[in-house]
Amino acid sequence: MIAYLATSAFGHLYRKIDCTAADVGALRKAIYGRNVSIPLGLHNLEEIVLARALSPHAMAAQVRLLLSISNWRVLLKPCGRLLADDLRAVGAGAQAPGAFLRGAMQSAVTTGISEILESDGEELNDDFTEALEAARRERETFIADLGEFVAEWTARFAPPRESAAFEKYFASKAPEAAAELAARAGAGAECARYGGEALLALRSVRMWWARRCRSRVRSAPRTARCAPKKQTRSRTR
Amino acid sequence: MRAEEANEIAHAITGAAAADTFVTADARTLAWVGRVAIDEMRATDLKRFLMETARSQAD
Repeated sequence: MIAYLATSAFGHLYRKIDCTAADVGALRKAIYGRNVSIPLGLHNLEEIVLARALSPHAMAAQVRLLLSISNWRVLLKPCGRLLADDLRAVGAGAQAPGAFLRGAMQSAVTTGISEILESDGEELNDDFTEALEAARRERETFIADLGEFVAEWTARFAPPRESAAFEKYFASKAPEAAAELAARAGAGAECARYGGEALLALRSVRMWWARRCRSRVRSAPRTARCAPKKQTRSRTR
Repeated sequence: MRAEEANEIAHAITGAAAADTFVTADARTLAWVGRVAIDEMRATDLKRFLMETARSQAD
């Protein structure tokens, strides 16, 4: 199982909410046994390291937990960049480049992680801090853009009140919304050649749409298993 | 949009691209995250994820 944990889940693990130390131990065992792998997102890291409310020691303790159960040698891109890269790849007729961060930002973060662990959270390398602050700004921009999109398009893409009508709604509206997303990413004209369906083959775009549709959804399954359908994986293995 | 929920969408998008399981501690996120079909992808809460992990070790 490859499991991505939102920072909220890492926070509950750290504070032992809905879990015990034994649960964390069992999770570690599963990771060591290669039954579970937890990739680490740059947003996981920036939310914890840049949290102003935490003391250096508390931050270091959370980071240690984070790093002890996740694979931090390969980090996941900020979500806005991930979406934009995926969309531009479709526009260029290429394969999605994958979810993993590469280049200078990746190097700055892995170096910074090593230093933060060695200094028990006391030392934050400048390049590391800058990389995390850039990731935080990207997240804030992404969230602002999403809010703007939702506000502008609520009437046009208003979801049905009945959950039974959702699939029909998705089939009719999602391609148009995905095309608009591509236009906002600067790849509208290129992606138009391939159509909204090609964009919706991207897992990142489908998930973006899921949030867009949330406003009138009433049922809340405890575990949500998505129906099978072929998509293009943007992860690189 | 709640601040917590806004953060969750950023994580859900990343999770969809990189994993087969998305784990959130925000119960309201589960209301929307499973609405759209994504091949071999599911969302769950922390408690259930840990239970399944423990069970996989026992099997």
